[in-house]
Amino acid sequence: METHKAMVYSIGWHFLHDRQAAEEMAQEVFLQLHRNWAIIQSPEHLLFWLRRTATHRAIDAGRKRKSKAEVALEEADEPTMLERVHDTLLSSYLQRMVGTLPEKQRSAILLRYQEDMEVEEIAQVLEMNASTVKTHIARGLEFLRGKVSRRLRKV
Amino acid sequence: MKQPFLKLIMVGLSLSCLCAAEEFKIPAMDRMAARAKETVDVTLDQSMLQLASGFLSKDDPDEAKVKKLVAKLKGIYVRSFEFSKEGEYSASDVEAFRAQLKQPGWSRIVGVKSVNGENTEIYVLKSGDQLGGLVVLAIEPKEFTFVHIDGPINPEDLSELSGHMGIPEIVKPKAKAEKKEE
Amino acid sequence: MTPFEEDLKKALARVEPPDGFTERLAARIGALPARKRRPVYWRWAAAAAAAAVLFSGVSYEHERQARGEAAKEKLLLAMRITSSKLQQAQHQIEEVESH
Repeated sequence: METHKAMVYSIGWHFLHDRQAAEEMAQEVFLQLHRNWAIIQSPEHLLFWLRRTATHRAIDAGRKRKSKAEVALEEADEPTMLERVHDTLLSSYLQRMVGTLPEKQRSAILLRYQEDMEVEEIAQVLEMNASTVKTHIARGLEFLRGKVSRRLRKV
Repeated sequence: MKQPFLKLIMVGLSLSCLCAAEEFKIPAMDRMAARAKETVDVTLDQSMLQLASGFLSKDDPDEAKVKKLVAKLKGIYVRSFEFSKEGEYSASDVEAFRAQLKQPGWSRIVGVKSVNGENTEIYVLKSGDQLGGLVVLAIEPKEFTFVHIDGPINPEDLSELSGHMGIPEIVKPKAKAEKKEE
Repeated sequence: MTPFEEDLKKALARVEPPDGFTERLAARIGALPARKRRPVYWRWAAAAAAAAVLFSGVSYEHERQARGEAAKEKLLLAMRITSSKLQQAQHQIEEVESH
């Protein structure tokens, strides 16, 4: 069950890239679980419920934040020279770039690569059909690959 | 003080019938659930009841009573929906439950309508000199609750429970001798 | 999975929330007001069930413990709801008979 705490928080963190916002979102998810505990039928149902609720809450939180700092996909921050010096880990760069994806691509990528979920499971959580999920994953990967290869050329 | 409810159950038991009833199937409630602002859904079959019972404390009086109560039960099922406004569920939603309770063996022992629109119906499944099952339908303007206790249950046990867990106690009927003195 | 996808998976590995997350959550649950329609004991039962999930620190080997505790809380909740509705019926009957 300690794993679920990290799972929910991680969805928020990787989606929002803001520790405070991610914690707030995760707390809201568990408060909602507390209110709706009686509907949970099994450990598997609990996991599905948490993933779905966390993802939707992260999307909602992301929309609220978007109005504060609108960043177009193409204009996503390229690392400064200082950041390149300090940020040599590909992981950190990928995390930041995932955070700039459109919300549906971001959700699909997170559920696929953070949670190891299959396309059909992701489709159920995001309430869309499987082919749409595949499209979002493919487009997200294409964008991320492009960003990484451009970065590698600059370094 | 009167305890009409308990009397009704006893009357129900006296008309015992060995009729075999079909298994109660909870109707699909997706439509109700979609409109509800809050839902309680408890499904405990025999294996889950046994699992739960194993975790009840013998030292806690309430839990010990529940442990004894559920020892022979086959299942407990609760569906409760709370709505933000009236009219969110229909008579046909409720009728889906009543249709199941027309099966042989089931008898309605309580059907009360209050002026504020809160109706309660209680059905029992007769099985020899015991109850073989109990269904409660609580039909309120902004809330619907269905409870099914499947298996042998003594009505006295339910009265016992009501005196604990923060619920005001149902006052038991005075003995006949005391009543005469009134 | 391609090497790039493996890198992405590493980048998106789960991270622990900041220290004190569980304590702050417990404080928020404790501060929740009682709901008007449902009796408080239902909220306690639901909170106890949620607490059993969140704070039990259950590992894989203790999954049965968690399931059993959760089943117990559901059972107690069911019994309270049943008793409450039977009590309601009794009051309604008494109201009718008193008129």
